Amino acid sequence: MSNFFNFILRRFLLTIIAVFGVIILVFLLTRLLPNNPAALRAGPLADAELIKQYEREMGLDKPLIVQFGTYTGQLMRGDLGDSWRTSQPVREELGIRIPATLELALSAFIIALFFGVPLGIIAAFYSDSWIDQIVRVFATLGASLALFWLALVGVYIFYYLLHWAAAPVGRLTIGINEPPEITGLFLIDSLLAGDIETFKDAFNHLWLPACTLAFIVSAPIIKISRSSMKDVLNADYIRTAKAIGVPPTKLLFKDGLLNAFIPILTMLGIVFGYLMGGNLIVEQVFAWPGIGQYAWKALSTNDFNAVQSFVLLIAVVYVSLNFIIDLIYALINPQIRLE
Amino acid sequence: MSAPIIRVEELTVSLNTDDHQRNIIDSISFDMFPKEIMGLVGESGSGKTMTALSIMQLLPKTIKICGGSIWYEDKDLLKMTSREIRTIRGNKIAMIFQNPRMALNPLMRVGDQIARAVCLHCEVSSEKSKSMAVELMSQVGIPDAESRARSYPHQLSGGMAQRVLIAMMLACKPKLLIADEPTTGLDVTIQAQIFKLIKEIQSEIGVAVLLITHDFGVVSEVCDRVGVMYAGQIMEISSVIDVFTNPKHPYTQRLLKSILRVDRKSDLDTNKALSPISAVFDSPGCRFASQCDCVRPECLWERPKIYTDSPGHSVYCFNYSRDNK
Repeated sequence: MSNFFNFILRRFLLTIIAVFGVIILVFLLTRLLPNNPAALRAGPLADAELIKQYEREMGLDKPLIVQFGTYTGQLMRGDLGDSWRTSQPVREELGIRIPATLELALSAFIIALFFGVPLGIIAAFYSDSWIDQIVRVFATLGASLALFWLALVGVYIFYYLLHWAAAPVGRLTIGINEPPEITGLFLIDSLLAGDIETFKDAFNHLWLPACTLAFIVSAPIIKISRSSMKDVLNADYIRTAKAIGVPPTKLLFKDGLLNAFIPILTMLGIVFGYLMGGNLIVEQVFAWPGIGQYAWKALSTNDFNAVQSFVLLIAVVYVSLNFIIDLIYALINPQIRLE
Repeated sequence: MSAPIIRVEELTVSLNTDDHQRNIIDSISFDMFPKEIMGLVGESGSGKTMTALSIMQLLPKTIKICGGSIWYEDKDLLKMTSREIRTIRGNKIAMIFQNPRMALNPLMRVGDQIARAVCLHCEVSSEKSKSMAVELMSQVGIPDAESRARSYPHQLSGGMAQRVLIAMMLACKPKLLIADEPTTGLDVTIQAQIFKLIKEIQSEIGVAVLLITHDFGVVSEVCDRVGVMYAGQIMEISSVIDVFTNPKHPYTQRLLKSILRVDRKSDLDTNKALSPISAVFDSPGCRFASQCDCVRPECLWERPKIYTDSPGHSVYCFNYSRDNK
């Protein structure tokens, strides 16, 4: 067991190093952006004097290394700086938006997980049958349809024609109050508060964007589940299990799935990271007040602190996901755990 | 001789590709008797493994049984439902494979894998099955079985892994153990140990063993009887002594000549190379005909009938069946 703790410790230290590397990279990359944020902030009519003054205020006149020192110092205190666009602390602004993105990402992730993995497994088990063909068509569609198009068509059909979904304008209908914040996830908070009306309304707003995202990201999950399950089903130890008379359901879900799970898990990590950082388009179409929209506005206005913080946040999400996935690997696979 | 435990009758197995059906096993018949070790020899692609997998009903999806029957205790295995066949597999008929380390689930402790085999067919508690697993492991000569049972397959050597597999397959005292080249990929010294173990177990619990190999040396040391296969047909079945001292079928004779021996000048120069085996699969007659030195016209379009030279020594060859009519 001490091997296992060594493994965790080693992975954890690597994670810390990776985060630090990301901080340096993000800082340098935002400095490479071509526009001068002081000039942008001062506006088109400002003279050189005003721009100079803003540069001094924002610390841009100091050498890069000093700026970096100030930046990391602030980070240590949990201070992400103020947004130059809104003059609000970035931490607060992100804090308001993270739950919205998280709720959307988690819902899409869970839907994609519970559809994608079983579909892939069934397709592998009945490979080359009509079931397999249908699943493959489904996965190909998910991989090749454009997200923005799918989102717009979804809105047209399910909101405009069928009225099954709420209008694509955020997380709640105007006039319905947010539930008291506990987790920040409206579905859960409204249930905790026993407020069924709010729950229904939140659900009506959430399901369409979540399903749209899930459809797109289930494609790689289906593909990887199918191919790794197919490999595993051809493995010698599956034949051995058959040879001692293990029934097919156990064969598939105990012997098969556990062994096939490692590549699937890697893909799940990538997908969740993508959902947290990459669903700008869906947030835009559904006017979802998440971090994707915030990052877009920040980037288009050269809002250094906001961009930096967003990129850092997503990087930390990815790095922590990888850490968690490594841990699960080790729990599943004794070869990793014991060596 | 007592009644056979397995009776293979005119088994035909075919591989279906998009445009072609090819009988990779062509109407073979043989019996296996209790407590004997029977060898099945032949070159690669001769259908030895497919014969074994047919008995286990573990053929790959693209390969189908399309004729014949396999009798086990008055029941035709080929007519059983998949549920019925699962009560036979691992219970009455068990099989060990080549590359033993690959044949164990890498995520399960080996003791648990054996215990699972016990649980599947015997009504025992999981506690009892675990202690039975440890017992089985020491029975197949694994030292320090108690702690070894907690190992994972990657921590075992190939020889150990094969012992674990044997233990797993012996869990329910099967009537027939099929061993498909059980020592492929193992060291020579380990090979000898594994064969010794198989012989010991055979005499201890009285299981019949069908040993698939291409090594006549192994056959001479381990087996009681041997069947010689070529291109999906059985050429000759006889006792081990007869096959070495009095081989009848031209293919058997050729095969034996190809064995290198220190006490004999090499026959390799005079032994013509055999043409690729796949070319002969569509022949309606004896599939060895095109390679045979004593070929007769009828060999090319008619299957030779069985000729019994002496009790227990059968040859499928016109050279004998017509002469002796």
